[in-house]
Amino acid sequence: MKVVKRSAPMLWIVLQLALVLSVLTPLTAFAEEPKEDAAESRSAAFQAVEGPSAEQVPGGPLLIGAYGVILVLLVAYVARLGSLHAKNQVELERLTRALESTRKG
Amino acid sequence: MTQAATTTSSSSLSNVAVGAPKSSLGFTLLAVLTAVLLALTVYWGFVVAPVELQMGVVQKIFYFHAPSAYAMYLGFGLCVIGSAMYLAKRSDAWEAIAVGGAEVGAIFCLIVMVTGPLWGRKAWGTYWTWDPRLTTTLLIGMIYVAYLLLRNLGATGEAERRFAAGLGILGGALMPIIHYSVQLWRGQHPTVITKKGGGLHPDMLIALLLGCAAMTALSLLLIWARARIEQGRQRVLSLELDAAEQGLLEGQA
Repeated sequence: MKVVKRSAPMLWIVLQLALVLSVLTPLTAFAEEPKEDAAESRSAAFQAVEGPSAEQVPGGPLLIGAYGVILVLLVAYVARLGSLHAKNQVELERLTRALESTRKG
Repeated sequence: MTQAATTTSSSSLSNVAVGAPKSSLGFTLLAVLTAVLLALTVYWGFVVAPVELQMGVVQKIFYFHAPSAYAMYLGFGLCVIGSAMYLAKRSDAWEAIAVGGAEVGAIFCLIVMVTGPLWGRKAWGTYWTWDPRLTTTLLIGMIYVAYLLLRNLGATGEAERRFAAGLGILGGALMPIIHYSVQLWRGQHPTVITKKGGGLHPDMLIALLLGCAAMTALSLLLIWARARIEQGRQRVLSLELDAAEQGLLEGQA
């Protein structure tokens, strides 16, 4: 019974505080913002890079790699054309020799 | 084996063109024009055109990447025309053009498929993404690689040659899908040239146009050379078969 009598005023105080806070809290929106001085207005924060950064993909090697691949592929293809042409020449010479020897024989 | 047959085969051999495009004035002029255009593209792209703000120097891949895609279209397009004409006329010359177009188109497709991901690594943060344009380009490359494998490994008979020609035409059906995939489906692949003028600096646009001219000339030069060589191979093979049928090559290695 004593406990009930003592806790009733405490509950009332808590309710009153909650009411006051709920009224006062929105009023902080009307509070004036503190003025910045010139130095603070120019301030910038330098932060250490943690994890991958934007410059971790260098463009130079990618560019050199791309043009290198183009050059290698085109040179290799021209070499293939030269090889096919030479193969045709060899076949033609073989055929000519065979026919010449047949004619003589 | 008669003397007349031997003489006929020998005179036919003297007329065989085994892919000697060097003797043609037109080929030489095209080769010179290609060299000049390539040099101009490199100069304009690396010296005159400014560095792009967001991507930096890696954007300069664009001056050969996009023109290579157009050269790929040209090669595969000639393969489609050559294949269709071969099916209509059974002409070896048209088949040679189809083979040349497919092979050169495949080389430029490979260039596109290598240089694109190198650009994408910087622009997108990844080498590959299953974007519609990338995927359809990979698909068309695989179709023409299959065509070339069929032609080079086993297409000696008429049926195989006709089947290869059909495959060449089928692959061409993908080209409009690749080209319009950026408009048809949402993807990551950028479109720089649009109907409203695009977003290129004037010097970048000149570099791109020079690149397109250079790669077009280069692809035509390579297709020309490859088709002539293929035509020479066909003639040598045909003469060899004729000579063998007449018994002129008996006892020869």
